[in-house]
Amino acid sequence: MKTRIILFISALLLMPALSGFAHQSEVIHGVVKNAETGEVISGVHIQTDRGIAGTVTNSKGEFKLQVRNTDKILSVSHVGFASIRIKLNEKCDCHKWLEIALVPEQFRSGDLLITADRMQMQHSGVYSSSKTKSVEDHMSGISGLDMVTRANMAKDPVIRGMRDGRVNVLIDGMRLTPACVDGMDPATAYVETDNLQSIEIGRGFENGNGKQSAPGGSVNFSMVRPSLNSGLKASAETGYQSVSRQQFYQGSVSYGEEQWAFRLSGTFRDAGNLQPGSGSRIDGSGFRKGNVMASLLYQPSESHRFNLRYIGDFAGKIGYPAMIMDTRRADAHIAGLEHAWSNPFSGVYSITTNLYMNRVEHWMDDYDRDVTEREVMRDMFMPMYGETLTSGFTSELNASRNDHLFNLSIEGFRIDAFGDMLMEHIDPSVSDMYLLNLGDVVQQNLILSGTHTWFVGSGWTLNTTLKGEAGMNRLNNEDARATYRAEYSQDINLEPSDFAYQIGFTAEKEISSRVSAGVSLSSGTRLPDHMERYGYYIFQPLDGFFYIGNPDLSPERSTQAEIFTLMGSEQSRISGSLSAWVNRMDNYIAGLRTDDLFKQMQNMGRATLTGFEGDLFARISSRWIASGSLSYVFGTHQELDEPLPMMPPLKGQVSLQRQSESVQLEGRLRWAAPQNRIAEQNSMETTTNGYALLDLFAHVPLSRAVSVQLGLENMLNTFYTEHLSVNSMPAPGRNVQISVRVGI
Amino acid sequence: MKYFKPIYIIVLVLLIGIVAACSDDSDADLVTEPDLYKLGEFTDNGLTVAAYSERPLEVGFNNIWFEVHENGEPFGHPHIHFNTMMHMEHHSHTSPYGEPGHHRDDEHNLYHGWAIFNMPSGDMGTWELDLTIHDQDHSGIEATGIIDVEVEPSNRVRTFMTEDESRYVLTLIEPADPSVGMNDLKVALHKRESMMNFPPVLNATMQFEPWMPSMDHGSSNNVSPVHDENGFYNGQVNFNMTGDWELRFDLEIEGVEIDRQTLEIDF
Repeated sequence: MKTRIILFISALLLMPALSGFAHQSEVIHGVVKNAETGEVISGVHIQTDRGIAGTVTNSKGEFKLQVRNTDKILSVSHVGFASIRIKLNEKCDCHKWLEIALVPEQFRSGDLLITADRMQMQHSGVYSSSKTKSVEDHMSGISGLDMVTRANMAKDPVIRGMRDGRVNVLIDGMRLTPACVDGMDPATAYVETDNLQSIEIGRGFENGNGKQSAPGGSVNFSMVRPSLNSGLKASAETGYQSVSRQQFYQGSVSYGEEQWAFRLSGTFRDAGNLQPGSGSRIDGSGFRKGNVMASLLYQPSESHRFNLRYIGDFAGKIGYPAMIMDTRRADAHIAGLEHAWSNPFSGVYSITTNLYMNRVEHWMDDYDRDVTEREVMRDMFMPMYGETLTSGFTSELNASRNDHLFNLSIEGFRIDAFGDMLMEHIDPSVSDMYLLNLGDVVQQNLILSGTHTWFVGSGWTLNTTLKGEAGMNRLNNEDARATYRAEYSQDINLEPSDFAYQIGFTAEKEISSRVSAGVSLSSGTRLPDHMERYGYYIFQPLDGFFYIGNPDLSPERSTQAEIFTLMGSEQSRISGSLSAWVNRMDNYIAGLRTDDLFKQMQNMGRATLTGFEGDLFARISSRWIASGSLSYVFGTHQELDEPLPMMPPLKGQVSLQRQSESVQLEGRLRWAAPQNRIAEQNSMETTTNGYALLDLFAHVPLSRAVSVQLGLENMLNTFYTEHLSVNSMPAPGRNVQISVRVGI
Repeated sequence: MKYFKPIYIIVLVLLIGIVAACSDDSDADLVTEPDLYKLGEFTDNGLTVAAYSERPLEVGFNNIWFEVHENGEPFGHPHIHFNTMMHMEHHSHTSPYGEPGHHRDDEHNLYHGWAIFNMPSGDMGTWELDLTIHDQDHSGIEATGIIDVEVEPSNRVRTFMTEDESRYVLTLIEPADPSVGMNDLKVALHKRESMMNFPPVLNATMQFEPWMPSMDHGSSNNVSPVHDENGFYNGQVNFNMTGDWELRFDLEIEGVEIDRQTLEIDF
């Protein structure tokens, strides 16, 4: 088998050399930007006039396309932007770098774009312009991406079976460190759909967000920018979801002149108790949440653009019925200043620098619970507090020379984290107990990375990535240091420094005008995160254990291989993608069970994950589009000879959309197979049943300014539980949703 | 400012020095008290004997220091013998104690001993220190006396009886001031052979575990105490959080397993 794989890879590598002389067709390449903001745009469809050749811009807005001498017109289209056509004649000078500017469309500029590595634009359905749906709802259709559910909000992304430190969740490239040590505030908790222009998902090491990739992949929430020369705009949306009696209000106002623009928006959600598919509503599952965003854009010249943005997110009384505590309050302040410098030097077409700082505070307690009846920590209240301060910078240079693209980046960030817990016994004669979960932890990292993309010719593209990362860690609180010395040894190094690397290589070949295929190989290490090193008595509700960190952890190594094929483009009648991958992890970091209550973080030998994702889009007619997706992950922990815990089951969905200027309709079938492969030795995982759900959506524009969105999810009111639901919290039952959007 | 020339300052300092040097210590009997808590004193045969501790005495292990003066001057090289004594309504008893050596200690320049009080002062009875002091060759002055002391309650002593009706005193000495993390653990084990005799137990084995009953968990990497000298056993205890802890000891004395003994600590 190994020999066959080697032969296949060798063939792929040798094909450019063998086929290079067969054709002399021309390759054009370039970048697509927003004409108003200067931002690069990913997921843009570029096609020749006869539809024979086409491609999609990558996450950096770059593309390359092989055209024939007979091709006359290049059409460039993207949702939310006016399509343009470029004549391919002598004046085009297409041998050089092509820079294409797209003008945003006024009416559909609110659409949320979701991309997943090479996959073409994900059809997020008729709700793509609605802010009613949460960020997690919008991401749920991506194959290979799952969500850990802890409550009726704020789900944690899982990519290819990996989560937490193995997946980087970024907000406009900025790192945000959750403050709750029990994972009740993933980064998704602090962004609203209204904040976002797009969600970029990278699956796996090599498909991740370049310098910020992680073994599992990355999710980057790109914030919406104000538009220059847009004049005054305003929009408002209100909605209701029956399943949790959630009311939703959103509004935004923006103004743009020639050199500057601003945008101000706010969202408020008030949700009651969740109604599962059968039985009564789940007590204590509601929440309240407000979110504001302000963004100021200043462009003093063609070359320079500054964007100052702030997100404030304020949540209160978030019920976590599947856990033993609720969030009393959670505040996040996220601020960043970005400078984009276009064409600074010959051959360098952009340098983008971002400075940021964000602060998260999280309070949780169990004052509203009956603590006398529970099994864990009985007869005591446990208020907990956590705070993090994350600050950093990124600077990225993009350059091109002939058929070569270069991306160089440097990133530095620092995380300050603190968490503690007071235990107040209901018997006043028992003394309070106090525990430091994170004793003033400091983590500082510096990352250098470079990517080289070579359009070799004859349909071949080669991509090489190199990354080096140095990390320094400190535990400053004296009590916390004493605790760790007692836990391990008096000589343990509480200020470890580590180095991680990543090297990746991708070869992609256009087999025909409609089909391309490739192989991706990568190997690298991941530095243990601050929770894995220093988290103390961290309750992990996914398995019911208390985790004790380990400052002495070694970096975890991941070696990944992926074979993929892409077919057609969004304009094609049939398009799709298929990826199969394997991920071998050595020095796998996990909790080693020390007794019935505790686990200690350890490097635990080898774990292997294997899986696939497939997506298919079929344009049945000018109005009707069918799509389907399928994904599966098979994880095994070789050290324990048992399945890895919390692996998503085989799952997929099919949908049928009617696209129209008037009424848009979508019907969707979501399903998941039972998951019976569970970890029993080192965890307390339970099996889950399969399910199939039917959804219906409609988008009805009443006028140019007013539109209505209607939805009926889980039509048959099926009772089901997601496998990645903490403590098997039931999923929502039948949900009727309606929202009205007004844009001026 | 011209009055504050350096020469004037030097002269002033010299004058102050001369006055201080020439000042007569008019009260030659004045004894400098150590920076300790004074338990009491008595005078007999011209010797004044004083006892000190770090803080008011409490049930458990207490360091006690002694000083002996003769006519206000430190008394040469005394031999200090003492024992604790509890007077109850119908009987009296002593408790484990350690007499001072013949030399002053480095810390306070006093004669250092120790006592373990196994019950507090109160309605049940009163504690005293019975002292006898003589010089090194037993040919000189001898003084005897009693210093009444108050002993506050604490939970640092556990007395227990085995199946063969032997009685023991288990005393927690360290940690006296516990903190989060690893702490030195020191206990003392004495046998009550009679009301007046508490010899140290030199050959016990101890299995030790700290436990937090309200949390229902313990901690890791503790070191069970082993015998050091004279009935004192040393180990280590790991407190991974503040709160109420039980120190659980499973003892074996002369091949006999003893029911688990528990001492409580709260910080």
